[in-house]
Parts: sequence; C-alpha cells; structure tokens
Amino acid sequence: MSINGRIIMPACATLFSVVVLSFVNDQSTKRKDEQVNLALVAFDATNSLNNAVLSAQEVLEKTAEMTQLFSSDETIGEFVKQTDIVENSLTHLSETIDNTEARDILDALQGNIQAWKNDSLIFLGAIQANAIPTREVLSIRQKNVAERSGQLSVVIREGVDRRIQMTSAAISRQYTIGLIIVLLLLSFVVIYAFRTKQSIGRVIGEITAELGHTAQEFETKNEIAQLETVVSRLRSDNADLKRFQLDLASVVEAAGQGDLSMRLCSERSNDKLNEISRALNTMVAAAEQIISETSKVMRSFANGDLSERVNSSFSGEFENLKRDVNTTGNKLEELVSEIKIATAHMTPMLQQLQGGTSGLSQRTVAQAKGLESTSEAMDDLLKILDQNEDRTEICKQLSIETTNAASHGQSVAFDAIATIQKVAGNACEIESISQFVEDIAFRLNILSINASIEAARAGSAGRGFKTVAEEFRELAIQTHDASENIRKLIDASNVDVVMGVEQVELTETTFGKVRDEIQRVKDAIFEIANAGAEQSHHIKRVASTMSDLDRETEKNARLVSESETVVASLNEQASHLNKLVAFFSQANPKGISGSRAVVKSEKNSA
Amino acid sequence: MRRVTCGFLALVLLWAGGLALAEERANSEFSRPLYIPFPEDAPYSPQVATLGKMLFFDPRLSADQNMSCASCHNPSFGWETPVALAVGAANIPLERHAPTILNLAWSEHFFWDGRASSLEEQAKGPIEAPLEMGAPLPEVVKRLSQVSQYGEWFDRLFPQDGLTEENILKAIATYERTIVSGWSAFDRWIDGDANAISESAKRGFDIFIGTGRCVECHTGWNFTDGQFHNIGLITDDMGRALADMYDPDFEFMFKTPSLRNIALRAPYMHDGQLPDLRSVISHYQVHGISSSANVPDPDPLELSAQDVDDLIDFLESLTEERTNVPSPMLPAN
Repeated sequence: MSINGRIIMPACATLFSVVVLSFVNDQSTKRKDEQVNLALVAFDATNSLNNAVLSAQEVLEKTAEMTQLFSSDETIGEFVKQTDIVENSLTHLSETIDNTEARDILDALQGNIQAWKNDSLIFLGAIQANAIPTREVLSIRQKNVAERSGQLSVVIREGVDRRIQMTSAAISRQYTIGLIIVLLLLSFVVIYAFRTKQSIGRVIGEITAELGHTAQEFETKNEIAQLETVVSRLRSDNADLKRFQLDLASVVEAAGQGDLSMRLCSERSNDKLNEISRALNTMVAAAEQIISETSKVMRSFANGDLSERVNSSFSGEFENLKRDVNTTGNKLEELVSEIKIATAHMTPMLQQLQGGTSGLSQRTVAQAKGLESTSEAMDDLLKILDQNEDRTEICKQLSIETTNAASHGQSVAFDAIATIQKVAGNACEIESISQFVEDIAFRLNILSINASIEAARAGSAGRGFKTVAEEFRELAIQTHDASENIRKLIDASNVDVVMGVEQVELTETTFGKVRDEIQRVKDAIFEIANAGAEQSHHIKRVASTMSDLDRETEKNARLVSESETVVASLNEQASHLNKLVAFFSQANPKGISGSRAVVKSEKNSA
Repeated sequence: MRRVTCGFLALVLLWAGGLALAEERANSEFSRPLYIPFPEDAPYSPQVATLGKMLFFDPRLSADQNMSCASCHNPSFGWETPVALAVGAANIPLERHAPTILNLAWSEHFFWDGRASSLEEQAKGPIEAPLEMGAPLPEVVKRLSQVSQYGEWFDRLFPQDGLTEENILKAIATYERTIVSGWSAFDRWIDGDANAISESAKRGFDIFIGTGRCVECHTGWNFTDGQFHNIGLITDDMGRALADMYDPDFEFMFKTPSLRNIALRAPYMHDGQLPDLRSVISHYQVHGISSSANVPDPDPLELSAQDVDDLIDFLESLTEERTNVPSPMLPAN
C-alpha cells in the first residue's frame, strides 16, 4: 500500500465512524423528538376531544334545562360541530396511537362516544325516535366518555414516557459505543503509524546494505533524510553505470555489424563493472578467432581446395562450430571422389543404350506401316458387309410381298369355288323350270287334241277352230323340244361346273404350298441377315482393336524417339559432370574407403 | 340449646334466601328504564317540550292569571302541593289532593280516578275547571295570541296550524312526559352500589316486597301497577266509580300512585287525609288492602315498630338525589 493510502485509510475510517455516529445520534434524537411530538399530538387530540365533549354537553344541558327556546337547527348545528371535532380528534388519536392497550381503550372510547352522540342526537330531536334518553342516561354516557378519555391520556402518557426513556437509554448506549469505537480507532491509528515507521526503516536498511553501507552511518533519525542520503549515493553509482552502458552499447553495436575488433575499457572505479568488461572482451575475442578461421577454411573450399581444416582449439559452441566445418570438408571430399567414380562407370553404358534405342526406333516405324494397311483392308470388308445387309433386307421385303400375293391368290380361288357352286345351284332351278315348261307343253298337247275332236264334232262350223287346235299342237311340240334342249344344256353345264370346282380347288392348294415355301425362304433370308449382322459386329471389333494397336504403336514410336533424345542428353551431362568433378582437388583422391576411414578416426578422437 | 341452634340456622337460611330473592327481584323488576317512551301521535321534540314547559309555568293560562299548572304540581314538593286538598284560583279547596306528575310517560290512566286516557286530555281538565284555573281554552288561545313570541313559536313548531287549543295541550303533555324522577340512592343500590342505602332501608325493602305485601300494588321501578284499588280509606269519594258511567264495582277505587319522591309528597292519599308515611303504614296495619270503606281489614299487616322505621327508611331512599328544575323564561306580553 502507498504511504498515501496508509495515511488516508485510518483518516477515512475515523471520519466515516464519526459521520455514522453523528448520523445515528441525529436519528435517535429525531426519534425522541418524534415521540415527544406524537405525545403532544395525542394529548392535543384528547384535550380537544374532552373540550368538544364538554361543549357539546353544554349545548345538551342548555336544551335540557328548557328555560329558553332555541332554534333546533342552531342547537343541533352547534352540537354536530362539537361532535365533528370529537371525531377528528378520534381520527388523530387512532393515527398516532400504536400500542395495543391504548388501541383497546380508544376502541372502547369510540363505542362510548357513539352511544353518547346517538342518545344526545335523539334528545336534541335530530334523530326521530319513539323513546328519548333520560337526563341521567345522557350524563352517564358523558361520564363514560370522560372517564375513558382520561384513561386513554394516562395510557398514552405512560406509553410515551416509556418510549422516551427507551430512546434516551438508546442514545446513551450509542454514546458509549461511539466512545469505544473512537478509542479503538485511535489505538489502531497509533499502531498503524508505528508499523509504517518500522517498514520504511526496514526498507532504508535494506537499500543501504545493498549499497554496501550500514544504517549506523546516518547522522539523523529522520527516515526522509536517510532516504535522501541513500538516493545521493544511488545517483553517483548510477552515473558510473550509465557510462558503462554507453561503452557496452557501442561494443555490442559494432559486434552486431560484424566488427569484433572493439573492446570494453576495463579500468573503471567499479570493480564489478571491470569484471563484466573483461569477461565480455574475452568472449568477443573468442568469437573473432573462430569466425576468422572458419571463413579461411570456407574460402579455400570455394577455391576448390577441400583439404583445408580449422586447427585452433576452442570450447563450447565454438568447438562445435569447428568440428562441423571440418566434418563438412571431409564429407565434401568423400562426395566428390564418389561422383568421379560413378561418372567413369556411366559413360560406356550410355553409349550402348544409344545404339539399342536407334534400332528399336526403326522397327517400330515398320510395324506401324503394316498395321496401317491391315486397318484399311478391314474398312473395305466392313463396307461390303454393310452392302450385304442392305440386300438381305430387300430379299426379306420381297418374300413378304410374295407371301401376301400367294395368300391373295388362295382367297381368290376360294371365291371362284363359291361362285361356281352358286352357278350349279342356278342350273338345278332352271331344270325344275324346264320340267314345268314340259308339263305345260304336255297339257297344251292334250288340249289341242281335245280341241281337234271338238272341231271335228262341230263340222264345218268348226273348221276355223281346227286350224287353231293345230296351231296349238304345233306350239306344244315346239315347247317340248325347247325344254328338252334346255335340260341337255343344263346337264352339260353341271358337268363343267364340277370340273371347274376341281380345278379351282387344285389352284388353291397350289397357292397354299407356294406360301409355305415362300415362308421357308423368308426364314432362311432372316437367318442370313442375322449371320451378316453378327459378322459385321465381329469385324468392327477387329477394326477397333486394329486402330488401338495403331495408336499404341504410334505412342511407342514417339517414346522411342524421346528415349533417343534423353540418352543423347545423358551422354552430354555425364561428360559435363566429369569436367566439373575434375575441378575439386582432393587430399585423398584414391577412393572412398580412405576418406571414410578418416571420418571414422576423427569421430573416435572427438 | 340444640333447638336454639336449629332456629338460628333456619333464620340464617331464611335471611340468605330472602337476600337472594331480593337481589333477584331487584335485577328483574326494579331497574330504571333508560329511555322515556313517546306515543306515535305526539312525537318528542325538545323545542315543543320547552314551549310546553313555558306554558306549564305560565299563569296566563288561568282566568285571572293567578295560577299556573305548576301552582299545584310544584317540583319542590314532588310535583304536588304540601296541602291535603289543592286550592283553586278562587282560593276554594278542591275535593282531592293534587297527584304527582312524575313518570307519567309510562302511565295509561290520568287523574285519581283515571277518567282521562292521555296527558293531553288530562291537561285540558284543570285549565278549564271553574274551581281550578277556570280559563276556557278558546280564551287561552286568544290571550296567548297577544303574546307575539308565543305566536311566532307555535307557528314555527306547528307549521300546519300554529297556535290552537290542541297544540297548547300537546306542548304541555310533551313537556310532562319529560318529567321523570331522578336517580335515587335506591337506584344506585339496584345498579350494584351495595353501600348506596342504609341497612335499615335494605330491610325495609325486604319488608316492602315480603311481609309488608306493598309490592302487590306498588310494582316495578315506578312502584305502581297503574291500576285502581280500594284500600279501605274512610271517604265519601266514590273514586273510579264516578269516572264514566256510574259503576258500583269501582266504588272507592283510586289509582295506585308511584312511590318515587314519596317522602316529598305529603300529605298522602287521594284527599290528603294521612299527613305522613308513618300514618300511611299504620293505615295498612289496621285496614288492609281490600276492605270496603269503614270495614277493618280481616288480615291486617303485622309489623314491628322497627319494621315501620325500616319501611320509612326504604321509602325515603326513593327520593331523587339531585333536583334541577330551572324556571323557564316566559315571553313578555
């Protein structure tokens, strides 16, 4: 905590407690005043209540005496005025009273007043009733009120006295507590001041001890003066330190920029600073040496001499640096010799590889040409197959059409048979008609014979008639002949019809056979078509395989030519590498095993 | 010796029983009413009562203006006059003693013979009676009309008809109903104050309700049954028998008077023939209560001299302790 805080805190605590105490005290005093005021208000209220009751009673007495005639309104008005005062006082009392006993008395008083008021109003004629109170009743009522209010004021006075006593006791208690708090605070402040002085003294002692002095050196007991002495000493030490800091800053800055030649002055008055300077100087010198030697070795590496090494001895990280540089040299030497051997082996192999690749290239070209011609032949074959397919399709169509024609012919033959049979039916009918005609001819003949007989009987009168009968006979004969002819004709026709039917039936059977044959032809054509489609599918697959082969061959050709280029460039690179490796001179150019042995021996020695 | 003890014990028991009986009766019968009843047709008004009081004390209600109601019903003498027979305005004695007007609010019959059934009706009698105040009511109305304040007040209190005979009687009756005997020592004793009356008075009360048989007619707090009785007085007055149509059954019957303030109301009886309470008690010792005139009581009271003293002490305890009847300020002519 700051000195400020240490001083302000107790002061604030004191101030706060004083404020609190005075506040509490003030409140208590106010409370006491309130109690007294309450008591006064209650007393006022009881007094005014009593006075009002008495005044009202006077009004009542005046009326009861019946010596003068007063206006009813005036008397009642005066009375009510007083009872209003009484009721106001009651309200005041009920507001101010807070103890149970007084409250009970007040309630009883209210009852008394109510009874008194009610009877009085009846007596004054303000309330109409069929019975009025006697004067004794009125005075008893008034007496009850007075007694009760007297009781009330006694109780109120007692309550208030008790309250005031309690408040006074509380105030004196508060004073005692306040006094104790103030004493406690005072002792706290004294202890606090003592402790603060002690802790400041201890701090000063610690500082002077730190500065290499003893506390007894101070001429004064004032801690502030002691602190000032300490500060002046610290100030002179600080000036030395500042100079050292500047020196150190310049050396460190130079080192930071790569200049390690600068050194700190080690001839100061402060021994500690001199020690630090010397140690720093040693460090900078060591760093300078390792860096210069490492750079020398690196420089010779750059010039191609891998035999150079760091030789001085160092300690710690500097020694690690030396070892790493030397190991790097050894590793580089080893690497260079191994590369040289590898390139020497590589050159003849590369030449062989070059020859192989050129041969491969020529063969690949020839293969590609062969594949190309095969592919063309396949294309032609495919075209022919396509044509075949078309033709088969045409055959299919033709066979279908032919089948249809055969079916049609068959149905036509059926129709012809039916027609011929109908003609045969008609011939039968004609035969029956000719039969009928023949019958007519027969009857006509008989008729004509009868007519000739009758004409003969008539003699000469029937000569004309005989002629007619003759004519009739002639006609009958002719008719008979005609019908005979017709029958003959019909018989011949019937024979023809039977023959026609037979021939047509033959035709129909033939047509059925034709259709079946054509169906078989159609099936064969379908099979051919399917076989053709399958063939063409296979051939197409062969063709696509051929084109794949073609593409692969092309890729091979490209690869072969690329290989050729790569082998050529490898050759070139190998000869370049030979040239480069030749740049490094080695301490041990004979081989790998020797340099390895060197590394191992170094490791063992490390 | 044993007989004596037994007798003593019996006496003690009797005394204790009597005491208990007395207290019981006291509580039930003799407590005073706190309220004065008023009839429906004559409601109470303090102003009307005050006016009635003025009229009661106003001699202008008598023919020669030499007499008021209060002349015979004097508050100083228990609302009576201390003479045997009341004396009228013409200084001629009447036939009867003036009866008290105390506690008439509870009464149903008025006059000694009960010929009036309301106070209003009763009030009319003495005013108009030639031997008494002798002023016919129309005359009274005329006279009072001359008094401006009376006119004014009647107009105010009876706004319908103002100053009339009826209203004069109503006002007087209203006032009379407010006249109630005040609290006496006996009342305080009844209310529980054991020391309010003397031991003698207490014994007298026991005789009054016990062996004296007084309470048979003088019942209740007002000590009257309100009925009419023949108590064997030697008199020519036929009493209640004359009240209306002559009725021989009611011969010599008079209204039982209240005993309140009785010590102030001598002489006693309807014609004031007995000068003091002692002579009243002695009358009952001789004549009893139910004999006809001039016939001695077949069952007379047997009271010792102490009993008589005790009875008188008791009767005196019925006198009110505080009398305050200020006279009204009468309006000037």
